[in-house]
Amino acid sequence: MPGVRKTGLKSHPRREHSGPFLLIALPGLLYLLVNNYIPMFGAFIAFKKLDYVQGLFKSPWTGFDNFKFLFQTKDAFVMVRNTLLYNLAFIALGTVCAVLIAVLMADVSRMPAARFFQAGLLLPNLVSMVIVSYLVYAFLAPETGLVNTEILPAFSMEPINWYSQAKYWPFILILTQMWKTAGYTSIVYIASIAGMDAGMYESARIDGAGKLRQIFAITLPLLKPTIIVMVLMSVGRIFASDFGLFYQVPMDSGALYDVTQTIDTYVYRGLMRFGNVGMSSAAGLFQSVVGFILVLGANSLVKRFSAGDSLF
Amino acid sequence: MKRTSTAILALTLAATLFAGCSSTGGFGPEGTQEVGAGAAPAADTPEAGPEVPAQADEVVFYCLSFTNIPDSYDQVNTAINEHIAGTYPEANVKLKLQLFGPVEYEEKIRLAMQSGTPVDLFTPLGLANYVAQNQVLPLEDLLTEYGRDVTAIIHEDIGTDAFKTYEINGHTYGVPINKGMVVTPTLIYDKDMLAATGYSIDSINSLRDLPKVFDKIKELYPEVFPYANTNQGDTHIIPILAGENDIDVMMDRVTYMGVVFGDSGQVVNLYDTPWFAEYVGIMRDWYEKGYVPKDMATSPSTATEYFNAGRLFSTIAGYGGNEIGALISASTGRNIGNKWIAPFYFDSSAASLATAVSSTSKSPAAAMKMINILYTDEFVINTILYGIEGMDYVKVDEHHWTYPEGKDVNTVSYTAAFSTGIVGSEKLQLQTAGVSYEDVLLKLRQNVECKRSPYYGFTFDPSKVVNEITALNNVYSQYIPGLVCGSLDPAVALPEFNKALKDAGIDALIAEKQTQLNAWIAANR
Repeated sequence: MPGVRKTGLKSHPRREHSGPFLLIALPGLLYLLVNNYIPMFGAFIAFKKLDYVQGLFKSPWTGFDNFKFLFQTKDAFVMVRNTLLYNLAFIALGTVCAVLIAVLMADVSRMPAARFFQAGLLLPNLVSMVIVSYLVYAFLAPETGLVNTEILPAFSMEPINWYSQAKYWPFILILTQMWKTAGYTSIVYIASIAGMDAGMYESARIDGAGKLRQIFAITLPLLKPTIIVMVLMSVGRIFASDFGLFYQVPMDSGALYDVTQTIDTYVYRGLMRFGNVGMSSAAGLFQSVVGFILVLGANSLVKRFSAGDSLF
Repeated sequence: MKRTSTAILALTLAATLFAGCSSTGGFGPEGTQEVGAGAAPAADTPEAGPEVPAQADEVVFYCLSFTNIPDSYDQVNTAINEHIAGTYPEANVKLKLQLFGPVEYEEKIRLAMQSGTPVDLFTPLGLANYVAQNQVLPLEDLLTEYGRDVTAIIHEDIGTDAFKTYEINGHTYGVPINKGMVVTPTLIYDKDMLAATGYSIDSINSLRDLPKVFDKIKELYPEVFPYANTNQGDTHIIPILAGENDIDVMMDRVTYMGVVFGDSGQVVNLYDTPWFAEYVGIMRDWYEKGYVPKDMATSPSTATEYFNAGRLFSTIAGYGGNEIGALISASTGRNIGNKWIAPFYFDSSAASLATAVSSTSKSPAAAMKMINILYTDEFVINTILYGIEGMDYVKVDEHHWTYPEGKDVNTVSYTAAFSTGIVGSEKLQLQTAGVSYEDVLLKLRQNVECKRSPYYGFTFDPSKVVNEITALNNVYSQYIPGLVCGSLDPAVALPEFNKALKDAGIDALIAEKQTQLNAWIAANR
């Protein structure tokens, strides 16, 4: 037995043993194929003017006509800017918050209270955005909200009509997003911290390293690969946005469009009345292609600076 | 090992694909099976009542329903088909009713048409788009051949020009749902509060007459808002404007982009006119004086809730007939009255939804025969709407129905009671107990008597300016709620709004509408 293990590790570490593992992965692979790869075939609809009598395949080609509406006005700039900037903020702040939570949780995890904290961290992620939007509304409603009726008067400040003041919303949206997702994202980090060798911390402690020193010298460097993978994965979604966050939470308020319009909300608002399959496919294809290019780009950047940590 | 797993993968994949085909193919199997089955029980069973002939052409009707979709409605289909077989044996058709909620309705139609699942009749929301994508059939020949009764009842209730608005490129694509189409801007107010102010309802004839009453209301009832919206973000001033100034909205009763005043024949931007500026100014004034809730542009709380809470004096919304006050009184327990505050201008956009025949229909003739029955047969209409009499609903008198003892809309086994705007002719529908039948007849009379636009019958094909309209929709929802609710300052926001409309291409839309209107005028002279 030990001999087999040794050769297995040395020569072809994967091939000989991959069979059973592939079988385990089979349902997942099938799911990927059926759910994610086969539908990609439909991307050609983005270049068609759909005619229901002639059917999908015989409908006339229209070139890039279906894409035009995305770039028709100066909204194009606003929505692309919003989508990108919000996602960048979410990725940066989200990673910081999640790692911070994970580092803090690592020391709590042995206490009985840990279960309570973990459940508490997960809970916001299970709340639907529609409900989140009403939680936010309970705080910000102009006439009845907690902020305007209790908090601002306590500092003797004038009530603010939140839903018509665009300048506050970048902060409100980021805060809401962090509240909802940071706990959930931190699970991956908590898991990888839990897997770290306790011996290292022990010897660090013997050598006289304090808590902070341990975090910066051991935990964070060991977390780096996980962080990179997580960031790369979110970079792929950088052109997509959480529709609920940008549509429901600001209550679809027109005065806030400058800071809440993203590609998804624009497509929704614009196409609601047409049900045009070609144009919606075009928008989806555009987001995916740009996301794909960005993942490739980010990955090759990672490769250049820290070869071992790249995704592929 | 690797090869085996690939093989398994491929096999499973193939199996999934074939399974998919057989379940969604739907081209032959069902139909042929029925023909085969129909041949066997040819021997008549005389005493079993009207037998539904198995070889009858099945017409699948995708019906939009706003209540809970019942789990099973075979009984309803069976009852209707027995009735059809007994009453119209020569038509040789049977109905397959399928109900869908508003969220999935259009998606279900698209899916059925793409996958070849049978669907014959449905209610397109926005006929022009369906015509542009070739999803519906021209009906004029079918109507003359198989639709004489439905044509007659629609001519009587809506007017002889009723089919004109469903004409696109010289073909008729829809059969209008036969109901009252006039929605008059109506002031709905608390009668007791008005009495307390000392003003008479006769002294209120337009928006401009309201502030004096509002001031008094604020003085008497500090907790009460003089005015709130019926629909979120919409004070109803644009429909009032359209009614007062004879504005033909050129088929756009949602965003009102590109309209014609009177018989001028010129398509213009409504938002760039002094009339719009004046009304937006009035709303700003109301907002600043505190007549309306400050968050009216975005708040999901609407007039109904404020009425329920006893914190509202008035609202304005479009209603058919003249008895909405009584209905609201019944549901809120307050003493509510109503008064028409502006006329309604009957243009093409007033036309209701229409029933259309799917371009994938196997038997358009059978579909039209079914439409003929759907619009003219009281039993079929009311069974689709309310289910089986005695079990799902009970008749109160000749014209009224109610739920059986102890049941309501959520507990009854079948109902599509809110689909009265989708199925058939309004005067043949039983009315909810409490609604006056006189009011129904008034609504139908209004159809014929209301002032008509000289361009009634013009329809607009948006396919060339879809990009502009998409962008304009966004501009509309960005500015209009704030402007019409007064939370945006028109001095700043109105020029900004018009600039944004120009950037989004309103001129191209107006030019396209003008071209099509000119062509229509030339063709109809």
